[in-house]
Amino acid sequence: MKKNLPYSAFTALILLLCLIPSLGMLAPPRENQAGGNQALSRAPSLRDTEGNWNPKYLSQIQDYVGDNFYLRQDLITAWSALNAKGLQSSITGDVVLGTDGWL
Amino acid sequence: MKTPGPAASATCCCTSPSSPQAVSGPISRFGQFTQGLESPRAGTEQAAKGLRRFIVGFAKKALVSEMAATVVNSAFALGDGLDWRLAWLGAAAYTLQIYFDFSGYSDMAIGLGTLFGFQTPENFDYPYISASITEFWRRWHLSLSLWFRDYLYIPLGGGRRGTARKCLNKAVVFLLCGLWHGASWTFVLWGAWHGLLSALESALPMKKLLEKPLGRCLGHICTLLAVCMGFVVFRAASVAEAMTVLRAMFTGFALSPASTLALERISPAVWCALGAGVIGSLPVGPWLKRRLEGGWLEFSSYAGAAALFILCLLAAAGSSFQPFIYAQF
Repeated sequence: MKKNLPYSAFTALILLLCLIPSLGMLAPPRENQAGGNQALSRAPSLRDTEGNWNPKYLSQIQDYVGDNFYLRQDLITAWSALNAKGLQSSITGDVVLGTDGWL
Repeated sequence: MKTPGPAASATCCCTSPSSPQAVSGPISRFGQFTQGLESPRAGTEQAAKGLRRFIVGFAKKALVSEMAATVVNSAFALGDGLDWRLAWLGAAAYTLQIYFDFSGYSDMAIGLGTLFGFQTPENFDYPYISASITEFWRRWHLSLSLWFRDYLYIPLGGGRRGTARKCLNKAVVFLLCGLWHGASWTFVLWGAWHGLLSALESALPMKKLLEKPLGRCLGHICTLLAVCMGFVVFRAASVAEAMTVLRAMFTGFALSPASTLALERISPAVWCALGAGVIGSLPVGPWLKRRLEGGWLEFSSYAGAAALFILCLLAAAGSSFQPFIYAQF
C-alpha cells in the first residue's frame, strides 16, 4: 500500500490537472477572458432560431471549449511571460521582442 | 480449422475502434490486442507509468515538434528566396519535426494503452543513430516495417531467391510503402529513394564496411543525410517544391536577404527546442538509466513528468489546433 502511494499521488495529480480546465467551466464566467480584441466563440445551441437541429453543433462546441476553457487566458499569460523572461522569445510568430520593452 | 465464434467477433469489433491506436498506429496485430483483453487490468504502478509515457509524447509534440514546425514552414514557403543555410536548417528541422511528432503520437498511444492494461508495440528505437538505411527501417515506424515485411516482403520471396531478387523485392516494398502514405508523386519518390538505397545496401558488402569504425562513422553520416534528403521530398507539397529546396541545399550558395531575415526571426525558444530535439534523438535516456540506477531516479522521473505536463498545458493553451502529421495518412 505504502509502495503504491507515490504512483497514486502522481496519477491523481495528472488527472486533476486534466480536469481543471473542463470542470472550471462550470464556474460563473469571469470578465476579460479574451486576450486583446479576440472574439471568443459563444456557446452553441442544439436548435437554431427556426427550431431546426443545428448540424454544426459538435464542431461549434469544440470551438467553444477551445476558446473558453477555465484559466485559458491565465495559462497563455504565464506561457508568454515564461518565454519572454526565460528565453527572450515571443509566443506569437509575427512579434519579435526588442530591447527596453519594445516589440 | 477452428471457426471464430461470436466471442471472437465481439473481440474483433473491440479491436477496430481501440482509441490509443485508432488514428495512425502503432499498428497492433489482432493477437497482441486480444492478449491485452485477457490480461489483468493495470495496477497503480502501471497506470502511473502509462501516464508518464503519455506526458513524454505530449511534450514531444507540444514543445519540440510544434517549435520545429515554425522553421520548416518558413523554409518551405520561401521558394526561390531560399539559400543553403535556411534550406539545410529547414530540412534538419523537418527531420526532427516528423520524428518528434510521430514518436510523440506513438508514446501517447502506448501510454494510454498501458493506462488501460494493453501492451501496444514500440514504434521507434532512436532511428537517427542508424548506420544504414536497412538499420533505419529497423528503428523507424517499426509496426509498419514489420507489417510490410510479413505481408509483402516475405510473400514476395524475401531474401531467399538470390541478391538480384532481394533487391527487387526491397524496391517494390519501399515503393508501395511510399504509396501507402498517399497518392502523391512526392511519396512515390520518397519510397523509391529508400528502395534504391536499401537495394544498393543489399548488393554491397555493407557488413564488412560497417565493421570498421571509420566505415560505421561514415555510415551514420550518410544515412542521416539520405534520410534528411528523403524527408525534404516527403514534406514538399509537390515535386517542384522538393526540387527547389534540394537545389537550394546543394547549390544555393548566394546568400539571400529573405533567408537572412527568416533566420534572424527564429526565436531563442525555437533554437532551444531544436537543441532539445537533437539531444532527444539520441539514446540519452537509456544511457542515464544505466549510469544512475536507483529509486531516486524513478522518483525524479515522475516529478519531471509532472513539471513537463504543466509546461505542455501552458504551451497547448496558447496554440491553435495542430494535427499530427501522420493523422493525414
